[in-house]
Amino acid sequence: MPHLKELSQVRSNIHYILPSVLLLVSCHGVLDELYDTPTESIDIREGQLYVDASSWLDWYYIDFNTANHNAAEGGTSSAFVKHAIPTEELSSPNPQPSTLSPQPGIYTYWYDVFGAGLSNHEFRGFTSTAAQSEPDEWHIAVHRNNVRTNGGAAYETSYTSMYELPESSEAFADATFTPDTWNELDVWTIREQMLQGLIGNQGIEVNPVLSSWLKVDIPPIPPTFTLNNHVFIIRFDDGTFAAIQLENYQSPAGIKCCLTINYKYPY
Amino acid sequence: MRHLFLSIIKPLLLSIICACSAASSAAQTSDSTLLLNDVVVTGTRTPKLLKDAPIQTRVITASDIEKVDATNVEDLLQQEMPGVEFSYAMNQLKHMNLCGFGGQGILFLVDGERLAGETMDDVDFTRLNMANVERIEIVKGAASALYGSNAGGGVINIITKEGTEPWTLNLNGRLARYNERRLGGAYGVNGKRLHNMLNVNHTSIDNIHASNAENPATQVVTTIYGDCTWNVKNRLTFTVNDQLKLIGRAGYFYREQTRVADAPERFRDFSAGLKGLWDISKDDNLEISYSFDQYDKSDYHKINKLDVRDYRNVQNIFKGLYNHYWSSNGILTVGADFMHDYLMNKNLGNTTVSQNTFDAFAQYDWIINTQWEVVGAVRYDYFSDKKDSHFTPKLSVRYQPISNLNIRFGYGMGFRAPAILQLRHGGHLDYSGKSRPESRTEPQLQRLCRLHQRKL
Repeated sequence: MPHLKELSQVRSNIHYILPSVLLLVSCHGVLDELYDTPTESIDIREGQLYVDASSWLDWYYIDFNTANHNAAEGGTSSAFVKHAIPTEELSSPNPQPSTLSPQPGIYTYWYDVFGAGLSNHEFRGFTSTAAQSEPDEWHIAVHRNNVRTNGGAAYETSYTSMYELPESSEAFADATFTPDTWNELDVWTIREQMLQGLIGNQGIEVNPVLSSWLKVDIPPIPPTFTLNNHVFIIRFDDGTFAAIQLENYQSPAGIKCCLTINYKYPY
Repeated sequence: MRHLFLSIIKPLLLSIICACSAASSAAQTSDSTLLLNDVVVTGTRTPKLLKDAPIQTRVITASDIEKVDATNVEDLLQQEMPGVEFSYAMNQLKHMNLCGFGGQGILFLVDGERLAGETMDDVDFTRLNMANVERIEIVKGAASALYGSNAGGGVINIITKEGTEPWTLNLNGRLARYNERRLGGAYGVNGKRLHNMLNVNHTSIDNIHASNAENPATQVVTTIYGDCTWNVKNRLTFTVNDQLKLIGRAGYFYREQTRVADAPERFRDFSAGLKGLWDISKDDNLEISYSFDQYDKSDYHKINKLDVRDYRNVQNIFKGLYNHYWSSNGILTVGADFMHDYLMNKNLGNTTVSQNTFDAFAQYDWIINTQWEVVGAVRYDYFSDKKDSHFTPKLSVRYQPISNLNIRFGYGMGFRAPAILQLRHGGHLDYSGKSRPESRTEPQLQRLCRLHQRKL
């Protein structure tokens, strides 16, 4: 009976076949090792800050002196403080901004997000709000991809590493520094009508050079984030300098606008 | 609870199908004649000549696929099947509509096996590439009595080729605009007892950026997302003897799509299976199988160099199917399935849910005489999560008054168990057509009557 012989062969190999089949029986799946698990903790080196600036409604104020102090103390306290962007309409509104100088408030613009992109926009409305509050001491403030300075001005270098920088800021004495300028297009705050292309922006001074460290392009949708890893030099009113660089704009879990910032202050 | 389950998640599909088939249509060609003598299996789970099948079955052959030069099932069905529409759902995810039924009303099978993973209720159609496909059998109408949940609107069964030559090698490629690329190869060897078929396919196409005209009345999407896929399958058939055949298979699928430049989405599938086909006697055969299918979704965070998984669906299915032939006038089919379904979805509150599903069914195909054939089936399904069950009957009749005219009548019920995700999140029962307004808490019931009259 040749069949019996073949069946016998199968039986003799069953101890190889069966474990192979059982290996496949995995209720929760196989090959977990293909994937990564983001770490909960953030590893911050010396001369580095991590700021979760993903909120659309807050500015995060950074004081480099506090950051240095914290680093010396072991980094137990935060180097930044959060101040909410005022969005409530004032009971006695300021005059419309079209007739006078820029006023604090929410400027609603329509953006051609499905067409030409953000460069094509139209002013649609204004809501007068209180001025942005600030802490007593601060050097820079971040809101998603936007950066402000405390009366400073910024210059973008061609360096892409903090370690390659010249010894001191004197190397940039002849550079042209750009101060903060009025902006009512980029500090996106109110998103209720985003699907209609309408965004309420905070009218406030921001630094266009520093804000170029993270470029957001629309279209496409979702937006494209492009990191500019150049080192920026900031000159403050008190004559001090800082060097900063955006190393990463994502949290370990992939949340955007969680900023890992390299800094050197005083520089 | 049983009443609630029945009323909420098991929309009843009542279909009356009367199909009149005339093989002598003027439109028939010699190809069609050959087609009528093809064997189909999906309608009754037993081999039947297409012309004699009591359940009307549409067949798309390998030749049709070749003519259309279809890359995947979407390309093919859009060209070959009237009433099929593929559209974009949220985030340009593909959604299929077949005669009013969406992804949860149409069951896709590959060689009779279910597919894990869904997005907006639809399977990943790019997984279903058309390389090495022998034929596709499409059964429209309620088929839940044989296939259970999700077969309320029909079944699409993709049947792959089995080589008959000592060895075969097929290499194919296609290049087109937008860097569209399709490269494929199939290598088969066919020995006395062993047969192996290896398939490797790769496709890619760039994102296509479209622009609106000046001052358009309606803004449209500006980017149509391309993707890159790899699909590797291997099937080994071991013919132990004239009565016993063992089939082992393994597959890997990978797709990457870049909607967000710094975090492309990745889709992976791992599948494997083992099947035994035993012809116990001239009148009895038994099929026992195990299949494993795992579908993962992840995002690759380029800047962090992390591949973070956010979705996983794993299905382990054991099946048994027994057929007994009573001389030439009857076939009894009895079967049972057990499925363990596991889902992890981080995007919906890090949900992890699993469920065991058990079913048993019986069908009797009574060939009364050369003119009349009656097929009756009943099925019982049990779902462990809510400890609920469902009973599904089906009756099909074929009447052949003259040699080239078939009249088919069918009464069947279809149902859809909640997608495993809905066990935790409610969700919508999204049958289109005559459904009541969707509600998470209100019962939803769909009744559909159809009268089909078409020629083969």
